[in-house]
Amino acid sequence: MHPAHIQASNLSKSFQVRGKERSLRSLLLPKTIKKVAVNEVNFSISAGELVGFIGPNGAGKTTTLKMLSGLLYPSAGSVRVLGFEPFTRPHAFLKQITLVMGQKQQLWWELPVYDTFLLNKEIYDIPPDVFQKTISEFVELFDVRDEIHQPPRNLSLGQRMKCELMAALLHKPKVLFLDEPTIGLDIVMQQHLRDFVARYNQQYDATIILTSHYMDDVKRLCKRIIIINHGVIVYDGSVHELTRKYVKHKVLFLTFLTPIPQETLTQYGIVDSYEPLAVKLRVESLTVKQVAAALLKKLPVADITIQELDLEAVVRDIYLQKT
Amino acid sequence: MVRFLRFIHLALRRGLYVRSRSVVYFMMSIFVPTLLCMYWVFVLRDNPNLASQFKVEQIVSYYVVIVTLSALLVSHMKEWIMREEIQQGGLSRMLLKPYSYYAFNALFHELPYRIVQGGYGAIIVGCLSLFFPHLFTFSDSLPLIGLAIFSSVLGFFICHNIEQMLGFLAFWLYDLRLIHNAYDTIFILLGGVNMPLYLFPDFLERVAFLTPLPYIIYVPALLFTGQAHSDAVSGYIATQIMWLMVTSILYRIVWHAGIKAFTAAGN
Repeated sequence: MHPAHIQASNLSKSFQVRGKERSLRSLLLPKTIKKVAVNEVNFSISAGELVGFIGPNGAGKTTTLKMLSGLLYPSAGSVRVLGFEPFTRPHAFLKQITLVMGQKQQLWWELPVYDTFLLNKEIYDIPPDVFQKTISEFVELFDVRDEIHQPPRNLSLGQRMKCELMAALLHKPKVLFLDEPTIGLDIVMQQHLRDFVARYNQQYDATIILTSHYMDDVKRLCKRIIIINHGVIVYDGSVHELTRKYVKHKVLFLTFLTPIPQETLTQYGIVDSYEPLAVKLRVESLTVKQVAAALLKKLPVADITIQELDLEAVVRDIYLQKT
Repeated sequence: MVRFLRFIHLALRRGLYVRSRSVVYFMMSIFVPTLLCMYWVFVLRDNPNLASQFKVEQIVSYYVVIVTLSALLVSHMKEWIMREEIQQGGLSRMLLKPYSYYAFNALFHELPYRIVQGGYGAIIVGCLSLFFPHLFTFSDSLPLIGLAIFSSVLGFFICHNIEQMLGFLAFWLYDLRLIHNAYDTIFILLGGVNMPLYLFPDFLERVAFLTPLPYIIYVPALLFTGQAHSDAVSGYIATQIMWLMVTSILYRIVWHAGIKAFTAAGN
């Protein structure tokens, strides 16, 4: 078992938000409301783990990442990353982490991308030979030989995102906080980035926390996911366990030889979509075998397929359950 | 040291990338001083009494040096820190870098612009003094020129500290334009940008010297043009050092308080 790289204990963060009251009194003595963004969160992440950190908008994902990276100090609880208290931001700590925010860039707009790399080389004090080797590796990996000599304003969003990642990883951080790294990218580019993240994780045994609204990112990259909603962790475990624990239904896709009335089908389960000859039926997992057998016996079924609910639907249900 | 030089090299490269923008900024900055210089030249030509106290070449040299030193030493960070760094959250990326924010701003944000714009000023001074030598009078004492350079460095850092602190007010306040515009106006008036402070009434001149503003470009300009009384030079430098220390201490206080507020609220 690897040692824990990230340890959060009862980690909380609340903000004081100004009230909406409109009066002269509120102008002079503004009323503030305490808004809890993250509430007593506990988790531990081992070295080399790649964890998906997901939740709906405003759930507390980015706030948690910011506390882990040292951009926010917690209101309560404790957090340790690589043995450091992140919010003290010692250089020894900053040299070992990176935070990539899909919606914020670190590349200098007017400079060729390579100059930003050179700048990061000086900031992180990377030896010239290591720098050259890393650049060659990344150029190969990302296929951006020509692009790195262009300023970011001349690059597409996908090319820019690749260069952003390169800039963020030049110093070979041990811990990566990736906040929506695939946002706005097309599916091909999303796949490239996922491949890269997976390879980086394997090659450097890096600990990675990834937040994303794209379930594909999480499904393809992470064995473990943490789901946060309203600042509270509602699930922490493997993707497989999540579907096992939360999926109470399976989906039957049925094709009939002759039209079947919808009322007849409701006896067997919940009709998610209905066309006279094609039906999507949700059935409790425990009874799916019996229901399928009954359908085949009693109705003119041309074809039947049984599927698990996909991860996206599971997560959506969890988000809805807790709201 | 090598790392520092490599940083400077990168900053200079950045300066070359922004050279066109720098031309525009520089051209904008010379317009008003040129008009004022012409005004004073005509005033001296038409007022023999005044001309006996002040020489045309003294005034012309002053304005040319002031324009160059404005371009070379006057930092313009406050708007950028307010908008890009604090309000739009760009500061987050710098807080996660193992490098001093102060040094990064000085080296990578200011230096390129200052060197390029100051370079334009130096070229203009060089050309004008070559073709119209009778219009200029500069200090010909090497020690004084050395002190003028030292004084310029001090002036740059005093200005850099003040500008950053004005930007940091965005940690607590949203719209700082009023404060920034007020500062710019006061700096133009008391910093010797529009006219030499020795042309001010005594009272106003004394008031100006109670602030750090004349120590940014006015004092270096007096030293470069040889208009500083020799017995006042050491006092000027000592006061500059004092202001640098005061603004540096204030900078640290404001920065730490601001970062505390920023990392409490995030962006």
